[in-house]
Amino acid sequence: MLEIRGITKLFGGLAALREVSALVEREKIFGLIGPNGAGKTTLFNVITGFYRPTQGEIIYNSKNITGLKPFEVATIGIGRTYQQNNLFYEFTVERNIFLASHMRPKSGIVEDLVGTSSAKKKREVIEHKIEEILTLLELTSFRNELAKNLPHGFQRMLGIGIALATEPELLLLDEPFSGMNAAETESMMGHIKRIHKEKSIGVLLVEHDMKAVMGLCERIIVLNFGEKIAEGSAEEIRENPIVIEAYLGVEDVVQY
Amino acid sequence: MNSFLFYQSLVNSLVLAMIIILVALGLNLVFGIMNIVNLAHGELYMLGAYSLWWFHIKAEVPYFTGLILAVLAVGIFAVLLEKLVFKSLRGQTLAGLLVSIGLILALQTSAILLFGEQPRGVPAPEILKGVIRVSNISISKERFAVIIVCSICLFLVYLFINRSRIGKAVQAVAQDPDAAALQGISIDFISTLVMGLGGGMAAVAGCLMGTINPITSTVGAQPLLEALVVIVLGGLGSIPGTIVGGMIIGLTKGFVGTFFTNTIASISVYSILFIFLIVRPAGIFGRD
Amino acid sequence: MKSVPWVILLVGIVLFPLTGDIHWTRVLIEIFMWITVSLGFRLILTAGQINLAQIAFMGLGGYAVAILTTKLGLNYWPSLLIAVGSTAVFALGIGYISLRTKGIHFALATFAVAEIVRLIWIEWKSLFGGVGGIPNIPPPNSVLGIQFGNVISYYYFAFIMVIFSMAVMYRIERSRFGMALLIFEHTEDLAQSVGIDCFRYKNIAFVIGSSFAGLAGGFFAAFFHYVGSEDFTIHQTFYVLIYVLTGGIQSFYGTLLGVSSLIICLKMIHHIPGFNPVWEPLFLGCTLLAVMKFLPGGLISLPGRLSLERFKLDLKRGERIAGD
Repeated sequence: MLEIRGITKLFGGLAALREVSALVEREKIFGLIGPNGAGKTTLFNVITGFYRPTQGEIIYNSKNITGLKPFEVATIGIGRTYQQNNLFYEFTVERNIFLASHMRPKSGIVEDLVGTSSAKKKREVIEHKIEEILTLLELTSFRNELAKNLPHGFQRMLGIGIALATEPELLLLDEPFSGMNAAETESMMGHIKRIHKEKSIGVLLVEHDMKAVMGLCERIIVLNFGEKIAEGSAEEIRENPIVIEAYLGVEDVVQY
Repeated sequence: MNSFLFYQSLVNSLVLAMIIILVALGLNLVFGIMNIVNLAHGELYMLGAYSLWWFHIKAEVPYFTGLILAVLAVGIFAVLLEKLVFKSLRGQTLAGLLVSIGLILALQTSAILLFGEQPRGVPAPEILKGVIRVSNISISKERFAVIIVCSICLFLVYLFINRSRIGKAVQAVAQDPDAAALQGISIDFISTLVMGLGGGMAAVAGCLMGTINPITSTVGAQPLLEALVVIVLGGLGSIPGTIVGGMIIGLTKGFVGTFFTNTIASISVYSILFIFLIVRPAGIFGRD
Repeated sequence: MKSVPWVILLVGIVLFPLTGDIHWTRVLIEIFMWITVSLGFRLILTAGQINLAQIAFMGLGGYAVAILTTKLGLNYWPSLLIAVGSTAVFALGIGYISLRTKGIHFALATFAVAEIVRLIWIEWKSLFGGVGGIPNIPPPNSVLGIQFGNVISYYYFAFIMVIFSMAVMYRIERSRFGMALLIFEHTEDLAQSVGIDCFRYKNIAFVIGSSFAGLAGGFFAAFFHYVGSEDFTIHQTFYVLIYVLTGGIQSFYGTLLGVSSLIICLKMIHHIPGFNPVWEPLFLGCTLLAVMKFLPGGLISLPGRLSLERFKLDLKRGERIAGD
């Protein structure tokens, strides 16, 4: 579904990513892990068009999408969440999903401004979608709450809701579990599994919480210093000495 | 172009460049430390000129004493502005911009109310009257003094920033405010200092030009705009960039102004600003 | 907004010229004109951009009408249409180049454009008349039998213009396009990720907003029978900015409130004995400082009844996506 082919990204002299290649399939939940600074968010930014890779291509459903603008990437079916600035804070939960439904269904500007009957019908479609997504993510009781006032766990849920409103085929989740306690993590894991299975949406997630990663991901890609150092199933990665060293190395420094 | 025009334009350019660099440097320092583009900086230039007039003509203080008093007065006023107005806006670039617009209106109009509507003038002191001639290029002693005084100021500022302890603290805050704060540097103090210093520099420029040109409430507009062009050109936050940018603008104005009207020279300068804002907003040297 | 007091106000405004008070009728005309310009400025502001060239666009509309009617002898009404059209085209060009930047870079870029345009008006004497401007612009040709001989016809012209502008703003605010604009200031990356072509939308907002200014400029030329560079300076843009911020950006009703209350204050200041024209900018400058310090939401935030869902422009430094 998504092929990352030899992606290299240089910032000045610094290589944030070097010759990273991977194949993400729709049927499995994929994880992208690595110590801080390994290049995970940079890779997301390359895939979604915020950065142009210095070398390499991104192929999505056999089409080369390298260099597409971010909104174009969203249009072809790749949805994304963010670590920060990930919600429309000053709007209600309901309004967030409404705004996120901007391109599905899409209204032409003229039709939108004039308020034709087709525009009205599209709004009804959106109302349905909002119900569906709020129910799926158990956010219905919060529908009139301002996004910035939501408890943290629900904010991250809303972030996924926003991505879902774009009706993606592939979801890129950037640290969905950050700041969550054990109960919230369990709940979120369930939601992600459900979204993946029920809606057959491919999932690639970046995460530091190892319990969530091991529990959720059927296949894991490991980055360190911008390079892919390992790829495999959860068990393989857990026992991989190179991966252990990459993480252990960081821990040593932290102890000092 | 014959060599006379060339050298004369060069001399004019140098004078223009010196003034622009002095004003721009103050503006850039404030931006580097507080992340605010203070559009009212030009009004500090204007107030410097008016203060000199007030001290020297109205209060009949000797010229050079008046100059020093004027610079001090404006420096203190700038400090007050920082404490009352800009302090709470540190880091909010757009809000700072809007507030400085309010200040422009308030200060320009206050100047008219305080100092009257007719243009004021400050005659040059005896020592600066007359003209220096080298072959057939001439420069008035006043303008020559501009070059000398500005160069001295720039040199002093350079020494201050690079050689003194406080100057190094300023550099630290400009580069990384959090790290600087952790080292015990008071951001408040540095901000106030930089604002006062910037105000003082603008005032020096204003006093010098006030001796040469008539003083009205709007004299600050032109230097401000040129300073903006310079710091965008050279890079917001970069001192060497300011100097290079100032030279470029001075030369543009000097040469274009010799062969075309002043209006066309201004159009050229604004066009350069526009192009740089779009193409290289970080300027020649600077960081964003 | 259908309660009785508003209807009474509306009727009052519609019937006002019949009171025969020429002075305040003229004031209301000016208010209508500035509301039109300010609405355009505000639209661009809701998309997160400060358009300091707004008055330059107004001037372009005015000068276009002036040139077409005085030098080419064209009928006023097609001239107005052409003026608005050419302002829109110019805005499209400027927007296409400048909207790649945002924040202060965009503000300064429009500042530069405004000054360049003004200097061209002064320098290109044969076309724009230099500092003297273009005088003797004829009144609009009669339409539907209505002559433009006295203030009353101009009043209804301005009134229709402002109602039209408000109607457009009303539709935009309720449209998905208008709502999308609100998220550009802080969360543009997220907006991109939900498939919104932010660059295109900003351009559209910029063109619409600038065209409002062009329209008002065309009216200016007709009403004052004169256009000159001194009427379209950056100070005037500052005034528009102050009207909009004082009124409050949350809703376009804020703009109505800001423009009317400030212009009425300015006119009343005229009547204070010992009046000095300098008091106008002084008052406005101090008003801006006071608003930014004590009432950043503007006048419209006073009743506090407007739903908090309305996006408040809090003008903090923008944040980028956090990288690794």
